[in-house]
Amino acid sequence: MADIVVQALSKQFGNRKGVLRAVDNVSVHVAEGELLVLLGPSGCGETTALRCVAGLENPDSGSIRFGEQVVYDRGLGRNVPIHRRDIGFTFQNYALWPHMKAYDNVRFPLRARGISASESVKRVREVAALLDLRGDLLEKHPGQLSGGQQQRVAPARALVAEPSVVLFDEPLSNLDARLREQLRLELRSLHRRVGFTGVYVTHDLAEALALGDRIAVMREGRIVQVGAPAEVFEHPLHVSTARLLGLRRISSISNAAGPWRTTAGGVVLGDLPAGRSDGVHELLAYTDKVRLRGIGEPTSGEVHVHGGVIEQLTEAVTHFQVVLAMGSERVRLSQEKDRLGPLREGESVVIDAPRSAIHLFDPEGGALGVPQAAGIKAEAATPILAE
Amino acid sequence: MNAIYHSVSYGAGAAVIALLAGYLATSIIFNRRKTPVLASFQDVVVSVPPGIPPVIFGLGLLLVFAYGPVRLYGTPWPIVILYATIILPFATRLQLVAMTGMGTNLMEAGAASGAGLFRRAFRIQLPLIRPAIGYTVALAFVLASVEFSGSLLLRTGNTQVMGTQLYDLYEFGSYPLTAVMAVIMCLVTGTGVSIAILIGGPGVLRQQVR
Repeated sequence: MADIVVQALSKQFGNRKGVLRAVDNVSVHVAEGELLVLLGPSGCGETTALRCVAGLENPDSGSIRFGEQVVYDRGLGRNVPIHRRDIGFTFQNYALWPHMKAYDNVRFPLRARGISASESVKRVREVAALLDLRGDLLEKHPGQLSGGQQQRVAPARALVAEPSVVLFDEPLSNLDARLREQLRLELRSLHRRVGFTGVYVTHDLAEALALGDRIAVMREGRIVQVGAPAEVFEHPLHVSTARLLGLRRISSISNAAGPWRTTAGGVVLGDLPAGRSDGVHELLAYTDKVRLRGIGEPTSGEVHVHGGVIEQLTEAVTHFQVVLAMGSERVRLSQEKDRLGPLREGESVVIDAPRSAIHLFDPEGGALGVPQAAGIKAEAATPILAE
Repeated sequence: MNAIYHSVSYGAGAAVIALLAGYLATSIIFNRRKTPVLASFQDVVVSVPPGIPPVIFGLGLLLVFAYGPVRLYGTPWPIVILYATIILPFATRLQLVAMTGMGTNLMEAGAASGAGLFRRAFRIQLPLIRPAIGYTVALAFVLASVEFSGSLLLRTGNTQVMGTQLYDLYEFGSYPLTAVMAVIMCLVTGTGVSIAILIGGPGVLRQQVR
């Protein structure tokens, strides 16, 4: 195994109609044995970045190193072909060769590396056991396997040759929710047992939180935040990251005229960081942690947002779907039945939230009041290594 | 008998040349993103032959190999080159369709698994485009059998093919032999197509529908 060092990596695609900067000055270090998850919305450049690391795309600038080996360096004119980079790669659509049995698919990297037949048999059996490929599954062709079975063969093929680096491009995205959850846990367990160095691309927040030792959030081709899953989840540094993590907008607020107020004029009380006196800030929250209280009801949280009116209340099995009118803005949230109390449509309410559920962002989208704890790093302005 | 042997061998030779040249052209066209200008040029080059009557090719090859610096007239090569030129556009298009259907992930997976270019081509790509190869060989036999006008200009006494032999028999008034020759042509062509289907595997006939 090796660590991965990516420095100032950039890649753009262009034609006569324009240029798209898919990867923009990305720097990151993946420690040996670490699984780094690249998380972002579709089109943010994470797959392109992964393919650049693999050698499937030729970057425009920067450098990539696996351990001591420089596999790409624009300045040195070095670009090691993909088949010599000693990687394993799991594709979104598995990319299993249909004319080969599963056994031959898994064995292929060993044959390509000149590993002897006897050693190959041993290694294929070992990796098959790791991935629970039992019975006669290995004797079947990919077309005879289910999606979940194919999704075990694909990482088996990626891991069998014990490569320096293992790369995953949304390997679970084609599976149903139940199978995704099951395989997610198995992949996590596999990483703990094998300890490979890996980069995993996903758009799925739950997957990122479950699998990553660290998460690198990408937006518009750049890494905007890197940290442990809990740190990123609790302290998103940009409003776009916050939305990606599932925070919902409660209201736009401003303190230009003194205390914080919503754009509809409702008072916002509580322990909020000092904002800028100009411009409108955004208040976001993990809405499963907020409660709606009637006017005059006792509150329990540290932050209270006034001025909301229940516009629509839709009953589901265990909760209510609430549409809250905050002036011209609309806030959608769920409230468990036993927590909503006697509130009805048309009633004025107060949003009652613990401080930990509330996040405030300035007019440029930057987070306010984020503690400067170790591990929470924003994107560097200059291309230096971000850890 | 010589005409039968020549038709089969010239058709087979032309199929091999067209398949190899077609594979090369297809690889360039398929990887258009890396070499867009070359890919476009290649695309045009392989698309031109169907628009030119074979008799024009035959005339051109006759002038080049009979009067040019390389004197190949009287050898099988002018006819083989004629057949290969006719077959090339089909060989290219069929392989291109097959490669496009394959997508890029399968070859990328091969590279990511540590396989170099030749191993990827022989172990992954060629087995998967085998139906296209089989169909091309089948088409080669058919085209070689039906091609007449260009072959008539290029044939000599010792490079007769079935079509020109049949014409000669008819011109000499040997109508029973002409009929026999016609039946033999059908049998030889059918046998060649059957062998090609065996080469291509069960997917060859479905190739037409794709």
